Amino acid sequence: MLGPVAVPKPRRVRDMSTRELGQAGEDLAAEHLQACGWQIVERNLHLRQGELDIVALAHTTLVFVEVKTRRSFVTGVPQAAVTPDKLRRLRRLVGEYLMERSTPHRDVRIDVVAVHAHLDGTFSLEHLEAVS
Amino acid sequence: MGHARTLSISLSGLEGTLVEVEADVSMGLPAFSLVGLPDSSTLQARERVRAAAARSGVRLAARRITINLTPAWRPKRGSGFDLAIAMAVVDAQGDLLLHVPPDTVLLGELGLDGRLRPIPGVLPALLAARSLGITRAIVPEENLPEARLVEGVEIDGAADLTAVLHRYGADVPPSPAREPAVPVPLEPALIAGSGHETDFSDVIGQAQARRAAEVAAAGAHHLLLMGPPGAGKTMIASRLPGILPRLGSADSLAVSAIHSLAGRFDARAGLLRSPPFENPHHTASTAAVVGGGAGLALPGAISRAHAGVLFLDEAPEFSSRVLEALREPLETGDITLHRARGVTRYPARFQLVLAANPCPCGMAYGKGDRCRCTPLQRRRYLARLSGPVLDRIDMRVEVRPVDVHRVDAEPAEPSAVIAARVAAARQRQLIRFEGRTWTTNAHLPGPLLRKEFSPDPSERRLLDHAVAQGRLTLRGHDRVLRLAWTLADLAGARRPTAEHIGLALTLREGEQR
Repeated sequence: MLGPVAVPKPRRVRDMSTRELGQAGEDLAAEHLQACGWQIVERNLHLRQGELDIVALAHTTLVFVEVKTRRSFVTGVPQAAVTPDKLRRLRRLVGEYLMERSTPHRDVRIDVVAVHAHLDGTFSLEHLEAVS
Repeated sequence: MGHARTLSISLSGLEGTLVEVEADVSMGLPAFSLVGLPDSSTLQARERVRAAAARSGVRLAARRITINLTPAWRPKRGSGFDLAIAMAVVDAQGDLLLHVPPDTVLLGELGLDGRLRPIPGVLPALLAARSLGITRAIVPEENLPEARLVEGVEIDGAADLTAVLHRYGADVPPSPAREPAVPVPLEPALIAGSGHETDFSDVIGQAQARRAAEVAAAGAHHLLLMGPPGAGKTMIASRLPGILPRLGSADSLAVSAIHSLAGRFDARAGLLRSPPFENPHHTASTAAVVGGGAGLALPGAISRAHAGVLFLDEAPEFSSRVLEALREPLETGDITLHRARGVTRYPARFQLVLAANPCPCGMAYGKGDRCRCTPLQRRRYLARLSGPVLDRIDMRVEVRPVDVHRVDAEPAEPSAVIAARVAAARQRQLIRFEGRTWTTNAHLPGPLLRKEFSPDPSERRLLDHAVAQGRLTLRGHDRVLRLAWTLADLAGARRPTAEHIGLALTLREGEQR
């Protein structure tokens, strides 16, 4: 007898935990970047000083992408969460990555992808290039 | 997203320059940066503009907003750029259909609720705008009476940011009902004419000092009143503006502009027409008296007293730096203040009135037998009024204690009667100096005093004698002659005679030290 197969229902945005929401946003961002023809090099790469969300190769430029996802703008738009302090930390991470994990690259860049998860399950996304 | 520009005025002293406020809104992390040498209050426009725009139904985009105030090398100060910045940003965001004409100057500070708040210096700013060929301006409603004093510029007042947005075609919700701003009562001292309710008829006795005040008023001469405490020096000095003629239109505009810049001008009573009277306390700092402050200098007491009276009560108690700083403006009639961020020039053609005790205890008048000071104390006290400063004073008058027995004998003249004589004397000077750059005897250039305006040699024997004896410097000689001209004007004489010159000599040397 075949029992009912447990099909994982797509969870509603409202019920997601912060971690799940962040993961969903990062997945979406990665899909978007691939659709743009970028080659994803790393995802959720943990280094000594923190985590890089996405490392991708856009043509010849190595791009480090910070993804920020928000359900509501009560605390401001997602891109506003990338403060100068956060950018400083990102630059340090990039330095560590380039020193220890990668071949030398001539063009390096930091981008931010801001994802807005609407309550009806749709997402909208804004890609900010060369923020730092 | 895009680029937009509006116009505003930056003041440096009384001189204004046109400032182009450029706004650029582009992709990037949300940021609001303001460049072009703003001072702290100008930089804080970011917070005011953000809140005011949101309250007026325009949310600032979460984008990279950059404001540039050009010319970027010129330091900007104050909150008057808020309106121009807000309009430039809203225009550059491009989500509202809006057209700000490029020839309109926008002035005003924004409140967090979107209200437009008054700023100091609207009058000089608009005068500058007019000379730069600007024909239209928007100012805060409360500055409207002041702004309207500038003729030839089409000026409109606005109560809030919404009103300005509507005016330029933006479709935003009407302004919410607001509590009216706390009304500012008209300062009694600023209402034209009411500042000098004091009258010379209040002064008991002191015929000589009253006469000296009249002469000082008639020729715009500097005056030193010396006498014991309580003799009436302050009373006489504070009544001096009441007998001065009212300001001419050029002076009136200049004085109003300075006071506007100092934030002490209430335009509801019109341009300032009565001569200003400034009496800084003797603890005043040099910056407070001659003008100063961090960054660009603000006008001090001597500039606020332009075309009026600067009264230094207890003059020897002022710090010597303050007194010495008066030397240059006393000669040139203006003050140039140098700061790291720029040079500012303010007019400072004031009439100096000093009051001093004869010694620290104040009793060294007459024979001086009631004075308890040592000779050294007395010398030190008077030495604080340095020679170079004293030499620039035309009249030194001793104010004796009032003799109560003789008080009732002579009824005191009211200010109006004295003012009429002063006005007549000033009129004679106006006619005599027509077409020249000066209008009063006190400003008659020295070289001309010895040629065109020299009295007959027979009349000035006394004066030549005083110079020959070394009792009078050459500067003193000129000052006595100027004083003699004023005395002649008051007496209705065509030229000063020996009598006038003798009297002038006495007035100048009144207090032999």
